[in-house]
Amino acid sequence: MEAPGTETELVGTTRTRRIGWGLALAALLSTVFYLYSNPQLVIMLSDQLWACF
Amino acid sequence: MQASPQTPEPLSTFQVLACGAAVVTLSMGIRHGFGLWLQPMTQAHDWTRQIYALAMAIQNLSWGVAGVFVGMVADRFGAFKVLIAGGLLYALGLVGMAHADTPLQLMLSAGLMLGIAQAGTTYAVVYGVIGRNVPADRRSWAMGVAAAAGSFGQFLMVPIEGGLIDALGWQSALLGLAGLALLILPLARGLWEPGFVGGATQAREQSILQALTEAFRYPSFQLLMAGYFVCGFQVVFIGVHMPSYLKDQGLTPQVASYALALVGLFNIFGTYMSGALGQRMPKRLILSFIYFARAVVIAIFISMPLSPTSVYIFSAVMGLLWLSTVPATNATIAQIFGVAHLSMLSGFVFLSHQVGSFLGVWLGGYLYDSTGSYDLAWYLAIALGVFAGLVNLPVKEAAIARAPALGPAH
Repeated sequence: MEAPGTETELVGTTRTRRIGWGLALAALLSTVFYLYSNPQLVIMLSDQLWACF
Repeated sequence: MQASPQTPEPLSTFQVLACGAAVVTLSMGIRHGFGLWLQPMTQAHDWTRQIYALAMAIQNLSWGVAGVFVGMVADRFGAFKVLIAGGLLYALGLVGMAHADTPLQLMLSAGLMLGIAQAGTTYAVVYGVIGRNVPADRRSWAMGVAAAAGSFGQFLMVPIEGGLIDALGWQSALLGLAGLALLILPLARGLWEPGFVGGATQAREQSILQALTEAFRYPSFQLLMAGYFVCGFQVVFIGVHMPSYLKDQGLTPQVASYALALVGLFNIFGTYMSGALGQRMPKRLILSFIYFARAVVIAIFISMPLSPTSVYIFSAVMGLLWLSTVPATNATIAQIFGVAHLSMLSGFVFLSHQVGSFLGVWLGGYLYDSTGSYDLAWYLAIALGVFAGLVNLPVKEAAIARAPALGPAH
Protein backbone atom coordinates (compact mmCIF):
# COMPACT_ATOMS: atom_id res chain seq x y z
CA MET A 1 0.00 0.00 0.00
CA GLU A 2 1.28 3.45 -0.90
CA ALA A 3 2.35 5.70 1.90
CA PRO A 4 0.26 8.87 2.22
CA GLY A 5 1.70 11.76 0.27
CA THR A 6 3.70 9.59 -2.16
CA GLU A 7 1.83 10.85 -5.20
CA THR A 8 2.23 14.45 -4.09
CA GLU A 9 5.94 13.89 -3.56
CA LEU A 10 6.24 12.34 -7.02
CA VAL A 11 4.53 15.32 -8.65
CA GLY A 12 6.79 17.65 -6.67
CA THR A 13 9.91 15.77 -7.74
CA THR A 14 8.86 15.81 -11.40
CA ARG A 15 8.17 19.54 -11.22
CA THR A 16 11.49 20.21 -9.49
CA ARG A 17 13.29 18.14 -12.11
CA ARG A 18 11.58 20.04 -14.95
CA ILE A 19 12.43 23.40 -13.40
CA GLY A 20 16.03 22.22 -12.98
CA TRP A 21 16.30 21.17 -16.62
CA GLY A 22 14.68 24.42 -17.73
CA LEU A 23 17.13 26.50 -15.71
CA ALA A 24 20.09 24.50 -16.99
CA LEU A 25 18.91 24.96 -20.59
CA ALA A 26 18.36 28.69 -20.07
CA ALA A 27 21.85 29.04 -18.56
CA LEU A 28 23.42 27.13 -21.48
CA LEU A 29 21.63 29.18 -24.14
CA SER A 30 22.43 32.45 -22.36
CA THR A 31 26.11 31.52 -22.20
CA VAL A 32 26.20 30.76 -25.94
CA PHE A 33 24.31 33.98 -26.68
CA TYR A 34 26.93 35.88 -24.69
CA LEU A 35 29.64 34.43 -26.96
CA TYR A 36 28.04 36.33 -29.83
CA SER A 37 28.79 39.64 -28.11
CA ASN A 38 32.00 39.68 -30.14
CA PRO A 39 30.45 41.18 -33.30
CA GLN A 40 33.50 40.74 -35.52
CA LEU A 41 33.11 36.99 -35.35
CA VAL A 42 29.67 36.82 -36.92
CA ILE A 43 30.25 39.71 -39.31
CA MET A 44 33.38 38.02 -40.59
CA LEU A 45 31.53 34.75 -41.02
CA SER A 46 28.70 36.24 -43.03
CA ASP A 47 31.01 38.41 -45.13
CA GLN A 48 33.15 35.43 -45.95
CA LEU A 49 30.22 33.22 -46.80
CA TRP A 50 28.92 35.89 -49.10
CA ALA A 51 32.29 36.04 -50.79
CA CYS A 52 31.92 32.35 -51.53
CA PHE A 53 29.38 32.95 -54.27
CA MET B 1 6.65 -0.47 -42.50
CA GLN B 2 9.05 -3.25 -43.38
CA ALA B 3 7.51 -6.63 -43.82
CA SER B 4 10.23 -8.54 -42.06
CA PRO B 5 9.34 -12.11 -41.13
CA GLN B 6 10.42 -11.47 -37.53
CA THR B 7 9.95 -7.83 -36.76
CA PRO B 8 12.67 -6.88 -34.26
CA GLU B 9 11.96 -4.75 -31.22
CA PRO B 10 12.30 -1.07 -32.04
CA LEU B 11 14.90 1.03 -30.25
CA SER B 12 13.64 3.13 -27.36
CA THR B 13 12.55 6.66 -28.24
CA PHE B 14 14.92 8.08 -25.63
CA GLN B 15 17.90 6.21 -27.09
CA VAL B 16 17.08 7.24 -30.66
CA LEU B 17 16.60 10.86 -29.69
CA ALA B 18 19.61 11.14 -27.38
CA CYS B 19 22.03 9.64 -29.91
CA GLY B 20 20.36 11.07 -33.04
CA ALA B 21 20.21 14.58 -31.58
CA ALA B 22 23.87 14.42 -30.50
CA VAL B 23 24.94 13.26 -33.99
CA VAL B 24 23.00 16.06 -35.69
CA THR B 25 24.28 18.64 -33.19
CA LEU B 26 27.86 17.71 -34.09
CA SER B 27 27.43 17.38 -37.84
CA MET B 28 25.32 20.52 -38.34
CA GLY B 29 27.36 22.49 -35.82
CA ILE B 30 30.83 21.74 -37.19
CA ARG B 31 29.90 22.69 -40.76
CA HIS B 32 28.21 25.93 -39.76
CA GLY B 33 31.46 27.74 -38.98
CA PHE B 34 33.50 26.83 -42.06
CA GLY B 35 33.41 30.43 -43.26
CA LEU B 36 35.73 31.30 -40.40
CA TRP B 37 38.58 29.45 -42.11
CA LEU B 38 38.43 31.41 -45.34
CA GLN B 39 40.71 34.22 -44.29
CA PRO B 40 43.42 32.25 -42.44
CA MET B 41 43.58 29.48 -45.04
CA THR B 42 43.70 31.72 -48.09
CA GLN B 43 46.35 33.90 -46.45
CA ALA B 44 48.48 30.93 -45.41
CA HIS B 45 48.44 29.40 -48.91
CA ASP B 46 48.26 32.61 -50.88
CA TRP B 47 45.03 31.42 -52.52
CA THR B 48 42.29 33.60 -53.91
CA ARG B 49 38.93 33.70 -52.18
CA GLN B 50 37.40 32.02 -55.21
CA ILE B 51 39.36 28.84 -54.52
CA TYR B 52 37.93 28.53 -51.03
CA ALA B 53 34.56 29.65 -52.34
CA LEU B 54 34.54 26.91 -54.96
CA ALA B 55 35.40 24.27 -52.34
CA MET B 56 32.46 25.42 -50.19
CA ALA B 57 30.14 25.44 -53.20
CA ILE B 58 31.24 21.87 -54.06
CA GLN B 59 30.61 20.90 -50.44
CA ASN B 60 27.04 22.23 -50.47
CA LEU B 61 26.17 20.67 -53.79
CA SER B 62 27.83 17.33 -52.85
CA TRP B 63 25.78 17.35 -49.65
CA GLY B 64 22.59 17.76 -51.65
CA VAL B 65 23.39 15.23 -54.39
CA ALA B 66 25.02 12.63 -52.11
CA GLY B 67 22.05 12.88 -49.74
CA VAL B 68 19.88 11.04 -52.23
CA PHE B 69 22.27 8.10 -52.63
CA VAL B 70 23.27 8.00 -48.97
CA GLY B 71 19.57 7.90 -48.15
CA MET B 72 19.13 4.86 -50.42
CA VAL B 73 22.00 3.06 -48.68
CA ALA B 74 20.68 3.99 -45.21
CA ASP B 75 17.20 2.71 -46.05
CA ARG B 76 18.61 -0.56 -47.35
CA PHE B 77 21.47 -1.35 -44.97
CA GLY B 78 20.59 0.73 -41.91
CA ALA B 79 21.70 4.10 -40.64
CA PHE B 80 24.44 2.68 -38.40
CA LYS B 81 26.82 1.78 -41.23
CA VAL B 82 26.15 5.06 -43.00
CA LEU B 83 26.80 7.04 -39.81
CA ILE B 84 30.07 5.18 -39.16
CA ALA B 85 31.25 5.85 -42.71
CA GLY B 86 29.99 9.44 -42.50
CA GLY B 87 31.72 10.11 -39.18
CA LEU B 88 35.03 8.68 -40.45
CA LEU B 89 34.76 10.65 -43.68
CA TYR B 90 33.96 13.81 -41.71
CA ALA B 91 37.12 13.40 -39.62
CA LEU B 92 39.24 12.49 -42.66
CA GLY B 93 37.88 15.43 -44.62
CA LEU B 94 38.77 17.83 -41.81
CA VAL B 95 42.29 16.37 -41.52
CA GLY B 96 42.63 16.61 -45.31
CA MET B 97 41.41 20.21 -45.22
CA ALA B 98 43.98 21.04 -42.53
CA HIS B 99 46.80 19.62 -44.67
CA ALA B 100 45.59 20.64 -48.12
CA ASP B 101 48.47 22.28 -49.96
CA THR B 102 46.89 22.64 -53.38
CA PRO B 103 43.46 23.86 -54.52
CA LEU B 104 42.66 20.36 -55.83
CA GLN B 105 43.32 18.85 -52.41
CA LEU B 106 41.04 21.46 -50.87
CA MET B 107 38.25 20.69 -53.35
CA LEU B 108 38.53 16.97 -52.61
CA SER B 109 38.72 17.27 -48.81
CA ALA B 110 36.72 20.35 -47.80
CA GLY B 111 34.50 20.07 -50.84
CA LEU B 112 33.71 16.52 -51.84
CA MET B 113 34.60 14.51 -48.71
CA LEU B 114 32.95 16.86 -46.25
CA GLY B 115 29.89 17.24 -48.47
CA ILE B 116 29.35 13.47 -48.61
CA ALA B 117 30.14 13.19 -44.89
CA GLN B 118 27.46 15.74 -44.08
CA ALA B 119 24.96 13.85 -46.20
CA GLY B 120 25.73 10.74 -44.17
CA THR B 121 25.43 12.32 -40.73
CA THR B 122 22.58 14.82 -40.90
CA TYR B 123 18.79 14.92 -40.94
CA ALA B 124 17.87 12.49 -43.72
CA VAL B 125 19.77 9.55 -42.20
CA VAL B 126 18.78 10.25 -38.60
CA TYR B 127 15.14 10.80 -39.60
CA GLY B 128 15.14 7.34 -41.15
CA VAL B 129 15.99 5.85 -37.73
CA ILE B 130 13.37 8.00 -36.04
CA GLY B 131 10.79 6.96 -38.62
CA ARG B 132 11.49 3.25 -38.12
CA ASN B 133 11.64 3.30 -34.33
CA VAL B 134 9.39 6.04 -32.99
CA PRO B 135 5.64 5.37 -33.14
CA ALA B 136 3.73 7.47 -35.66
CA ASP B 137 1.88 9.31 -32.90
CA ARG B 138 5.18 10.76 -31.64
CA ARG B 139 7.16 10.90 -34.89
CA SER B 140 6.67 14.56 -35.75
CA TRP B 141 7.56 15.58 -32.20
CA ALA B 142 10.68 13.39 -32.31
CA MET B 143 11.74 14.93 -35.62
CA GLY B 144 11.25 18.35 -34.02
CA VAL B 145 13.59 17.38 -31.20
CA ALA B 146 16.28 16.22 -33.66
CA ALA B 147 15.89 19.38 -35.76
CA ALA B 148 16.12 21.54 -32.63
CA ALA B 149 19.35 19.73 -31.77
CA GLY B 150 20.77 20.59 -35.19
CA SER B 151 19.71 24.19 -34.70
CA PHE B 152 21.42 24.21 -31.31
CA GLY B 153 24.58 22.84 -32.91
CA GLN B 154 24.62 25.70 -35.42
CA PHE B 155 24.03 28.24 -32.66
CA LEU B 156 26.71 26.74 -30.43
CA MET B 157 29.56 25.95 -32.77
CA VAL B 158 30.16 29.26 -34.57
CA PRO B 159 31.57 31.13 -31.55
CA ILE B 160 33.34 27.98 -30.34
CA GLU B 161 35.07 27.48 -33.68
CA GLY B 162 36.06 31.15 -33.72
CA GLY B 163 37.56 30.69 -30.25
CA LEU B 164 39.39 27.53 -31.36
CA ILE B 165 41.02 29.36 -34.27
CA ASP B 166 42.08 32.17 -31.94
CA ALA B 167 43.48 29.78 -29.36
CA LEU B 168 45.04 27.01 -31.48
CA GLY B 169 45.50 28.45 -34.95
CA TRP B 170 43.41 27.46 -37.96
CA GLN B 171 45.18 24.18 -38.70
CA SER B 172 45.07 22.74 -35.19
CA ALA B 173 41.50 23.95 -34.84
CA LEU B 174 40.55 21.79 -37.84
CA LEU B 175 42.30 18.79 -36.29
CA GLY B 176 40.42 19.44 -33.06
CA LEU B 177 37.16 19.43 -35.01
CA ALA B 178 38.21 16.15 -36.64
CA GLY B 179 38.47 14.65 -33.14
CA LEU B 180 35.04 16.03 -32.35
CA ALA B 181 33.61 14.51 -35.54
CA LEU B 182 34.86 11.08 -34.42
CA LEU B 183 32.40 11.26 -31.52
CA ILE B 184 29.76 10.44 -34.12
CA LEU B 185 31.09 6.86 -34.19
CA PRO B 186 30.20 5.84 -30.61
CA LEU B 187 26.95 7.79 -30.88
CA ALA B 188 26.06 5.82 -34.02
CA ARG B 189 26.20 2.64 -31.92
CA GLY B 190 23.09 3.90 -30.16
CA LEU B 191 21.32 3.99 -33.54
CA TRP B 192 22.23 0.43 -34.45
CA GLU B 193 19.02 -1.33 -35.47
CA PRO B 194 18.74 -5.10 -34.95
CA GLY B 195 16.60 -5.38 -38.11
CA PHE B 196 19.67 -4.73 -40.25
CA VAL B 197 21.94 -7.19 -38.43
CA GLY B 198 24.48 -9.31 -40.31
CA GLY B 199 24.44 -7.16 -43.40
CA ALA B 200 20.94 -8.43 -44.19
CA THR B 201 18.51 -5.99 -45.67
CA GLN B 202 14.98 -5.68 -44.43
CA ALA B 203 12.27 -6.90 -46.77
CA ARG B 204 10.51 -3.95 -48.35
CA GLU B 205 7.25 -3.61 -50.17
CA GLN B 206 8.69 -1.46 -52.95
CA SER B 207 11.93 -1.28 -54.85
CA ILE B 208 13.83 2.01 -54.95
CA LEU B 209 12.57 2.63 -58.48
CA GLN B 210 8.97 1.95 -57.51
CA ALA B 211 9.23 4.25 -54.50
CA LEU B 212 10.78 7.00 -56.60
CA THR B 213 8.23 6.66 -59.38
CA GLU B 214 5.42 6.76 -56.87
CA ALA B 215 6.80 9.84 -55.09
CA PHE B 216 7.58 11.86 -58.19
CA ARG B 217 4.18 11.12 -59.72
CA TYR B 218 2.43 12.19 -56.54
CA PRO B 219 1.61 15.92 -56.71
CA SER B 220 1.95 16.46 -52.96
CA PHE B 221 5.60 15.35 -53.08
CA GLN B 222 6.30 17.86 -55.83
CA LEU B 223 4.60 20.58 -53.79
CA LEU B 224 6.67 19.73 -50.73
CA MET B 225 9.84 19.91 -52.84
CA ALA B 226 8.79 23.31 -54.19
CA GLY B 227 8.20 24.58 -50.65
CA TYR B 228 11.54 23.29 -49.43
CA PHE B 229 13.28 25.04 -52.33
CA VAL B 230 11.83 28.32 -51.08
CA CYS B 231 12.90 27.51 -47.54
CA GLY B 232 16.51 27.13 -48.71
CA PHE B 233 16.35 30.34 -50.72
CA GLN B 234 14.97 32.51 -47.93
CA VAL B 235 17.02 31.13 -45.05
CA VAL B 236 20.38 31.30 -46.76
CA PHE B 237 19.69 34.65 -48.41
CA ILE B 238 18.86 36.21 -45.04
CA GLY B 239 21.60 34.41 -43.11
CA VAL B 240 24.33 35.42 -45.52
CA HIS B 241 23.21 38.82 -46.76
CA MET B 242 21.48 40.37 -43.76
CA PRO B 243 24.65 41.56 -42.00
CA SER B 244 25.75 43.32 -45.19
CA TYR B 245 22.24 44.78 -45.57
CA LEU B 246 22.33 46.13 -42.01
CA LYS B 247 25.79 47.53 -42.57
CA ASP B 248 24.55 49.32 -45.72
CA GLN B 249 21.69 50.80 -43.69
CA GLY B 250 24.16 52.29 -41.22
CA LEU B 251 23.63 49.91 -38.31
CA THR B 252 26.59 48.80 -36.19
CA PRO B 253 28.23 45.37 -36.46
CA GLN B 254 27.02 44.70 -32.92
CA VAL B 255 23.41 44.84 -34.15
CA ALA B 256 24.15 42.38 -36.96
CA SER B 257 25.89 40.06 -34.54
CA TYR B 258 23.01 40.00 -32.08
CA ALA B 259 20.58 39.64 -35.00
CA LEU B 260 22.21 36.39 -36.12
CA ALA B 261 22.46 35.22 -32.51
CA LEU B 262 18.72 35.83 -32.05
CA VAL B 263 17.94 33.93 -35.24
CA GLY B 264 20.03 31.01 -33.95
CA LEU B 265 18.47 31.09 -30.49
CA PHE B 266 14.83 31.29 -31.56
CA ASN B 267 15.43 28.74 -34.29
CA ILE B 268 15.89 26.11 -31.57
CA PHE B 269 12.45 26.82 -30.14
CA GLY B 270 10.84 27.17 -33.57
CA THR B 271 11.97 23.77 -34.82
CA TYR B 272 10.89 22.08 -31.62
CA MET B 273 7.47 23.75 -31.63
CA SER B 274 6.90 22.89 -35.28
CA GLY B 275 7.58 19.21 -34.62
CA ALA B 276 5.39 19.17 -31.51
CA LEU B 277 2.53 20.99 -33.25
CA GLY B 278 2.76 18.59 -36.18
CA GLN B 279 1.55 15.90 -33.81
CA ARG B 280 -1.68 17.79 -33.15
CA MET B 281 -2.64 19.56 -36.35
CA PRO B 282 -2.24 19.15 -40.13
CA LYS B 283 1.38 19.69 -41.06
CA ARG B 284 0.47 21.27 -44.39
CA LEU B 285 -1.18 24.09 -42.44
CA ILE B 286 1.92 24.49 -40.30
CA LEU B 287 4.07 24.71 -43.43
CA SER B 288 1.71 27.15 -45.12
CA PHE B 289 1.66 29.29 -42.01
CA ILE B 290 5.47 29.31 -41.81
CA TYR B 291 5.90 30.42 -45.42
CA PHE B 292 3.11 33.02 -45.32
CA ALA B 293 4.42 34.33 -42.01
CA ARG B 294 7.92 34.68 -43.45
CA ALA B 295 6.53 36.71 -46.36
CA VAL B 296 4.56 38.98 -44.02
CA VAL B 297 7.44 39.43 -41.57
CA ILE B 298 9.90 40.29 -44.35
CA ALA B 299 7.40 42.74 -45.91
CA ILE B 300 6.89 44.51 -42.58
CA PHE B 301 10.60 44.53 -41.87
CA ILE B 302 11.64 46.20 -45.12
CA SER B 303 8.75 48.67 -45.14
CA MET B 304 9.23 49.93 -41.56
CA PRO B 305 11.94 52.38 -40.48
CA LEU B 306 15.03 50.38 -39.58
CA SER B 307 16.28 50.47 -35.99
CA PRO B 308 18.10 48.05 -33.71
CA THR B 309 14.77 47.20 -32.09
CA SER B 310 13.09 46.38 -35.42
CA VAL B 311 16.09 44.24 -36.37
CA TYR B 312 15.95 42.32 -33.11
CA ILE B 313 12.20 41.70 -33.41
CA PHE B 314 12.57 40.60 -37.04
CA SER B 315 15.43 38.28 -36.13
CA ALA B 316 13.57 36.65 -33.23
CA VAL B 317 10.43 36.06 -35.31
CA MET B 318 12.40 34.83 -38.33
CA GLY B 319 14.34 32.56 -35.98
CA LEU B 320 11.08 30.93 -34.91
CA LEU B 321 10.29 30.32 -38.60
CA TRP B 322 13.87 29.40 -39.61
CA LEU B 323 14.30 25.60 -39.79
CA SER B 324 10.81 24.89 -38.49
CA THR B 325 10.00 23.58 -41.96
CA VAL B 326 12.39 20.63 -41.47
CA PRO B 327 10.36 18.42 -39.06
CA ALA B 328 7.02 19.33 -40.66
CA THR B 329 8.23 18.51 -44.19
CA ASN B 330 9.94 15.24 -43.27
CA ALA B 331 7.11 14.07 -41.02
CA THR B 332 4.66 14.71 -43.85
CA ILE B 333 6.76 12.58 -46.21
CA ALA B 334 6.84 9.78 -43.64
CA GLN B 335 3.09 10.04 -43.19
CA ILE B 336 2.35 9.89 -46.93
CA PHE B 337 4.87 7.32 -48.12
CA GLY B 338 5.74 5.37 -44.98
CA VAL B 339 9.26 4.95 -43.61
CA ALA B 340 10.79 2.23 -45.79
CA HIS B 341 12.35 4.80 -48.15
CA LEU B 342 12.21 7.82 -45.86
CA SER B 343 15.93 8.70 -45.93
CA MET B 344 16.03 8.60 -49.74
CA LEU B 345 12.90 10.71 -50.16
CA SER B 346 14.14 13.14 -47.50
CA GLY B 347 17.37 13.30 -49.50
CA PHE B 348 15.46 14.33 -52.60
CA VAL B 349 13.56 17.16 -50.92
CA PHE B 350 16.80 18.28 -49.30
CA LEU B 351 18.44 18.44 -52.73
CA SER B 352 15.70 20.87 -53.71
CA HIS B 353 16.46 22.85 -50.53
CA GLN B 354 20.14 23.04 -51.43
CA VAL B 355 19.43 24.31 -54.95
CA GLY B 356 17.28 27.02 -53.35
CA SER B 357 20.08 27.82 -50.90
CA PHE B 358 22.58 28.20 -53.69
CA LEU B 359 20.26 30.52 -55.59
CA GLY B 360 19.51 32.52 -52.43
CA VAL B 361 23.16 33.32 -51.87
CA TRP B 362 24.10 33.78 -55.48
CA LEU B 363 21.03 35.70 -56.65
CA GLY B 364 21.13 37.93 -53.56
CA GLY B 365 24.67 38.95 -54.43
CA TYR B 366 23.93 39.22 -58.15
CA LEU B 367 20.89 41.46 -57.67
CA TYR B 368 22.80 43.62 -55.21
CA ASP B 369 25.67 44.06 -57.65
CA SER B 370 23.27 44.74 -60.55
CA THR B 371 20.95 47.22 -58.82
CA GLY B 372 23.00 48.55 -55.92
CA SER B 373 20.47 47.42 -53.30
CA TYR B 374 18.84 44.35 -51.82
CA ASP B 375 15.30 45.56 -52.58
CA LEU B 376 14.69 43.17 -55.49
CA ALA B 377 16.05 40.23 -53.55
CA TRP B 378 13.76 41.01 -50.59
CA TYR B 379 10.74 41.30 -52.96
CA LEU B 380 11.67 37.95 -54.46
CA ALA B 381 11.88 36.41 -50.99
CA ILE B 382 8.38 37.74 -50.21
CA ALA B 383 6.91 36.50 -53.49
CA LEU B 384 8.47 33.07 -52.98
CA GLY B 385 7.09 32.96 -49.44
CA VAL B 386 3.56 33.55 -50.73
CA PHE B 387 4.12 30.95 -53.46
CA ALA B 388 5.33 28.34 -50.95
CA GLY B 389 2.46 29.13 -48.59
CA LEU B 390 -0.02 28.53 -51.39
CA VAL B 391 1.54 25.34 -52.75
CA ASN B 392 1.58 23.69 -49.34
CA LEU B 393 -2.15 24.18 -48.77
CA PRO B 394 -3.33 21.42 -51.15
CA VAL B 395 -0.78 18.85 -49.90
CA LYS B 396 -2.54 15.57 -49.06
CA GLU B 397 -1.09 14.21 -45.84
CA ALA B 398 -2.98 10.94 -45.68
CA ALA B 399 -1.08 7.71 -46.35
CA ILE B 400 -0.92 7.09 -50.08
CA ALA B 401 -3.36 4.49 -51.38
CA ARG B 402 -1.52 1.52 -52.90
CA ALA B 403 -2.53 -1.72 -54.55
CA PRO B 404 -4.05 -4.17 -52.02
CA ALA B 405 -0.96 -6.42 -52.15
CA LEU B 406 1.18 -3.58 -50.88
CA GLY B 407 -1.23 -2.02 -48.40
CA PRO B 408 -1.29 1.62 -47.40
CA ALA B 409 1.86 3.42 -46.34
CA HIS B 410 2.34 3.70 -42.58
